[in-house]
Amino acid sequence: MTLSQADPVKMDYVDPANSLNMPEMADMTFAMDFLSRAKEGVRSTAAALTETVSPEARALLRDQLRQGIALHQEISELMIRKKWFHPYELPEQYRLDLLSAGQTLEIGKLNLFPGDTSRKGMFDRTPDEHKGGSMA
Amino acid sequence: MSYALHETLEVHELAAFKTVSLTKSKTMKALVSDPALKAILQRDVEVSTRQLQELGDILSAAAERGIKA
Repeated sequence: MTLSQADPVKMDYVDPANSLNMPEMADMTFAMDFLSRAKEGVRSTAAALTETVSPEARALLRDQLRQGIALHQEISELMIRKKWFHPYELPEQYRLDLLSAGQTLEIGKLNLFPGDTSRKGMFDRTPDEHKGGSMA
Repeated sequence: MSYALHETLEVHELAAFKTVSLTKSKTMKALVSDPALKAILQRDVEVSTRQLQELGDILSAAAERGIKA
């Protein structure tokens, strides 16, 4: 799927065609962010654990480290199952990363929050004209 | 028993990270559509909240008992 089309002049920025596959792509991005946060959490907890001396702090960090590792495993298993993450197929992962990098660049070019979103003047008559609604 | 300065700083840094992470999980939970991912995010919100409270307890205990530099 490409976010741009041959003739961008005809393209309306709120065209639903631009939202095709968007929920799945968004989920993949959220999962990727979640995975890196879990990874970061495990690493910093492990680093903190090696810096602590008091038994209660050590016990606490050890428990949190275990929970962090469990969380990381859960997310990566889900991502592998969903085919969002390919740890064993490097070419496939490379292709996917390239694709999402390209899409991110396209999103960066989009004017997502234009100042004027009014549709006034796009219709030659109002839908309720026969009822005299426009005169009300 | 008091806490050493470096371990207090380490716990503080971890608490700061967990705060951002918890906020992010909570916000993203509303945006994802996949139910399995949503469930993991929800559980992470609960676990992180508890972990943050535990880290907060250590930090306040350190402040109470004094930090050894």
